[in-house]
Amino acid sequence: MKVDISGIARHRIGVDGEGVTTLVAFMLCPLRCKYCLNPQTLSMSNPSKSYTPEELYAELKIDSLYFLATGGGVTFGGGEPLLRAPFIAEFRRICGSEWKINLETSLNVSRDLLETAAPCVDSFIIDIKDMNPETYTSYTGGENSRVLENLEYLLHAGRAESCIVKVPLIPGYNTEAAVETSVASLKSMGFTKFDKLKYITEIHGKGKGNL
Amino acid sequence: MERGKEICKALKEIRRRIATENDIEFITSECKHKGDCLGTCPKCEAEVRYLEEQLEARKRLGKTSRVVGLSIGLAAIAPALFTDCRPSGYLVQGDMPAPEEQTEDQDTTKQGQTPVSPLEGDIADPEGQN
Repeated sequence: MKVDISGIARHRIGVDGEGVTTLVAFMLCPLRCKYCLNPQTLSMSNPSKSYTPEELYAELKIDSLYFLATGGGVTFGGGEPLLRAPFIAEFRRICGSEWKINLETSLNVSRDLLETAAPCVDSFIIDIKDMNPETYTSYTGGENSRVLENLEYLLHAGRAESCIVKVPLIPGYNTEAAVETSVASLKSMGFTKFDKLKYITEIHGKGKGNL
Repeated sequence: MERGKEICKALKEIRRRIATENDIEFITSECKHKGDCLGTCPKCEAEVRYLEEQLEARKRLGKTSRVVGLSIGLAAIAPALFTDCRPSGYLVQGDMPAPEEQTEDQDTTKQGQTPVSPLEGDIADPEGQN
């Protein structure tokens, strides 16, 4: 099993998960967000490198001491990491239970992929974009019906405490009031941990937009 | 790259605490490097490998090692890394040769983005994949 990885970022602190983490960014994403931070992951024509789970573990274990001492581990992002759920499950089998595995995800994938990955994941960092379907579609080019279904799945699986829901202010697409509306909706569902932030709109020195 | 320097200091403190907790002699020195810092360097990496060797030696002697569960609180030892200037989401750049239009990343790094280590080895041929 080989998957294409856009990049690996070591020694992340205070960014995406507890402790010292290493970010592994997979290629490909079902969405086309206008302010995507990693547009290089969207097309297979961009540079990437293929790894098996064993090869990835061999590369990441260089920081195992930091992971173990700080309660950190690996954050899978991208792109959309859940598209590589079987890879993540195999990676967990290889790395064991002591490393934390975090997932930076949109949850906009089929249920079977989430079901495959969920037991292997310690923490979900879910970028919800906006709970309003029209805003969501306008910003991402996709629909949020699967996102809502997958949120319900995580709730019913008792994983609400494992979820940090990012609710961004998206310049030009939503407002602070809309962010609060999304947060209220998510709270009513049963989520308790939120990360409100403002999207970066100037990327790569090229101004706004998904390149 | 102030964030890199802060990461370097935090990682050094983690190494120091691991050594202390396991009665490992650990002599380090203040980094004098003045240029860009990615948070680690060959000297820092060598200290990690030294700790691993010492922990392995303890294991061979039947001594227990204490690393898991140290729960070193990073917010206390590196508060500058836990500010509102942290990256919005994350950014992976500098990892692979970027397409020509993606080479200017100053704006995002100013906002506290973490540079990434280069991936070594061959770049996959984009043709014939998925």
